[in-house]
Amino acid sequence: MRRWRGHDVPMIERQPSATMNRILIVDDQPDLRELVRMTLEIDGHEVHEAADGAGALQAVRQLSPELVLLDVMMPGGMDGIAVCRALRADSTRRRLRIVMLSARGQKVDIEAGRAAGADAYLPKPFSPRQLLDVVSRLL
Amino acid sequence: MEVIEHHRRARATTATRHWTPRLESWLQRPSIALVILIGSLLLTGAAWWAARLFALDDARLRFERRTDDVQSRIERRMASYEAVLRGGVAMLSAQPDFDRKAWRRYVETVQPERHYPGIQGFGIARLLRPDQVDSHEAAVRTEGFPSYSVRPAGARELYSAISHLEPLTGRNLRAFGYDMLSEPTRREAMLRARDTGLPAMSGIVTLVQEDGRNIQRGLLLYLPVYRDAQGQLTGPAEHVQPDRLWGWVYAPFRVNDLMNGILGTDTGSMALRILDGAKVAPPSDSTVSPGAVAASVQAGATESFYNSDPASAASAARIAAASRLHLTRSLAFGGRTWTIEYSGTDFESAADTWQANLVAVCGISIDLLLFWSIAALARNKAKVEREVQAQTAASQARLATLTAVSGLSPDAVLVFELDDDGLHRLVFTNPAFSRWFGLRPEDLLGLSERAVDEWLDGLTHADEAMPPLQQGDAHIVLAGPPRRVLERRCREDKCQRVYYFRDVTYQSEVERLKNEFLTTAAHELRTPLASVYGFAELLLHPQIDAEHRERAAQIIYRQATVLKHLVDELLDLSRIDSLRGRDFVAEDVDLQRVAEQCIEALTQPDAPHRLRLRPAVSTARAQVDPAKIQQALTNVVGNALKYSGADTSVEVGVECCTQDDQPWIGIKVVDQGIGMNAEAVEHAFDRFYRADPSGHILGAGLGLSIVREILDIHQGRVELHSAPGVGTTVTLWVPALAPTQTEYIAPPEPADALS
Repeated sequence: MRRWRGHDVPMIERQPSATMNRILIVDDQPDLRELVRMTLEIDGHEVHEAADGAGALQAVRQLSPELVLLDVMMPGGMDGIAVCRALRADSTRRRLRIVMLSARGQKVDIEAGRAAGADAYLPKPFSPRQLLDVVSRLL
Repeated sequence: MEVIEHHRRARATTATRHWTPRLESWLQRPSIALVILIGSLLLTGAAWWAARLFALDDARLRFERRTDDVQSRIERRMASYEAVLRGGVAMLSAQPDFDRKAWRRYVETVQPERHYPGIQGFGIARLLRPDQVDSHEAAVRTEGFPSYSVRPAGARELYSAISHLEPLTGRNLRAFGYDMLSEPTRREAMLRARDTGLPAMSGIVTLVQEDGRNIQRGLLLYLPVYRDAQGQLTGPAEHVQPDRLWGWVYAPFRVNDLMNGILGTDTGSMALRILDGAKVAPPSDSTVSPGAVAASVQAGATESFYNSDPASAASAARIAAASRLHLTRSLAFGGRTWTIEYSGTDFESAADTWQANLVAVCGISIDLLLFWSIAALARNKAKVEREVQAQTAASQARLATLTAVSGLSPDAVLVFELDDDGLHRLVFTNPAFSRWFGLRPEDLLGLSERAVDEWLDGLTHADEAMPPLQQGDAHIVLAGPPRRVLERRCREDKCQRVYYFRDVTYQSEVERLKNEFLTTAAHELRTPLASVYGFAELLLHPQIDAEHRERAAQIIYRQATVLKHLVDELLDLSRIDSLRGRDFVAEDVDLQRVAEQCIEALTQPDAPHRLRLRPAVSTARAQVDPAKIQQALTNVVGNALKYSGADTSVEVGVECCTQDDQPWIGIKVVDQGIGMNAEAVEHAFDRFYRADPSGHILGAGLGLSIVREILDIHQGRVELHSAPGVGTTVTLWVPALAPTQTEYIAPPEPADALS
């Protein structure tokens, strides 16, 4: 099926990457977590989920993922920026890649993400292909 | 409100020359013109009087000098006559063989008519004893004068005869041979000359030469001639020996001719009168020559024998009395004393005082001019003062209007005026300014813009420093409280700069809320959109299996539903916001009936028992818009259903209460759902706030916001009680209508029966 091409941008057929990477998605919305999981599983990544900041830090400690996708606006005490700072403060995880996801796509928001130490910033709504590109570029 | 003028600088300048305005204001008083007029007239009078005094003194001095002059001229002339006579005596003594020819030559040499006007001639009178008369007559007759005789005839003790008289022509022929001793006045002088050896002047006589035409007074001057021991003719010896007298050398004078010769025609403005004899000096006469005192031997001379102004001779005494210039002096000559009365004419007096009169006229003219100009000045000043007063009143009225208007103005106003230093200084503030900035007018008035800036700088919000006034238009944030956002505008003309401050706090807050709402709404729309967009793209991906496709389609549907709700609610909210109750259609509604309809609409076919309506307990009528109340109730019941388990029920009931002496009717919705903690309850009515942000429960977070907007329009309120895990109770209260009927309303059938 070539329906993928029905998009504005022609897409190339993706091959599963040789290495399987462990990736953590942190978002308070289950539907979005499921979207990320479904997308990344196309490339054969191992996807884990967390619903809030505290859960994210715990999951990182337990799983030591190579990459964390972080939603900025989350309920609870910690938002994505705070989680990102906390992760960056941990010197043992220098190689951890962090991608911020946010419905806020303003310049100031992107700057705040970069300042907190994120490697990339994806404004919502994002295309799954875009997500795959960002992830494969970082890994 | 107060307004100050710029005194500070003005005061500084008046301090240095304060007397000038005081003098000016003193000069400009209306009464002062009259005072100055009187004063200046007095001064003018004094000046006139002084000038007149000086002029009169001057005139008197000149007059006295002229009298001196005339007096000395008379004296010198008389002395010169005497000298000529002495010359005659000398010639007689020098020529023993004296004859008539020699005498003629002498007289011709002297040229009396040329050099000695007034003199009639020079003559020799011989003294003759009675026995000598005949021989004398004979001797003269032999000299060629056959008719010569000594006249008048008659026997006398002593004779004299004019034997020589030159020029012997005309009138003088009448005197030839005349015996002057026969007449007492002449005789007195002749004998006096004989006895004293000195020249003797006779009293006033009529000369024998007078022929009846132009008769003048006359007088004679005699010098005696003696015979010495040797028989030689000679002048008076050291010791006068009257018995040795030979005769006299004499000269007759006609007084008027004499005086005209002495004085000439130029007696000027002076008149003089000569009296024979010394006059008893009245005490008022100023100057009397010492000679007169010494020689006042003759007395009682009252009749003048000469008057320089014969026309007024009759009134001479009167003139002398009237004239200020009047002087009497004495002249002693030839053994006689003359009294000379000098008097200045009226013309001279008048001429001497014309300067004083000119001073008076000019002075009075200047006084009147001064009076006129000072009076005009005072009048002008009064006029200007009246105009200024009128203008001041008008401008004060304008200022009062301005003050009243600006006092009512909601905007703050600062007015600066350009002063002499080129600085703008504050002259006016209004109450709004004082209120907003908390500054009293007296703190600021008179300050420059820079100084006012310093005052204002401390009041602005720490993050937003106020731009200086001179930068013109700006936005200013006052720290408050309350925090204010002001819009500053500047208008400027030639000498004024006006700053307006408009409170735009509300507008800027509305703007801020609107932006915030849009940002939040966009964010809320993006969240479901992200799922729809992402899963839709995945559906196109060839590697997605059927199970995942199914799942993706479900999520897309669900999130699209969320989007739809969101858009609907946004539209509702927007409509309510924009209309603000203008589409509110109030009806007398039974709220029980509204609740029934709502439950009917919301009851789900697969769970008909979850919604229950409690039966009505009383009338529940209220003035509401039923469609809107139903929308609010639908939102609340929808929330109750969403946030509670499928096995729990939601109960709806209508209640009454009284609060603040007002009856209220409420529709209460009770669920046994997840409930909310205190923080969530606090934010429950915020827009886009979700009690469950997980996304499992559909919703936009606008439902309760809409409920509250609707209840606000009805002047109602929303009551919310909730506890996590227990459930939530929401009551919508609206003001009840007063019960107009007390009829019993039968409880309707249970809600589940309606489904």
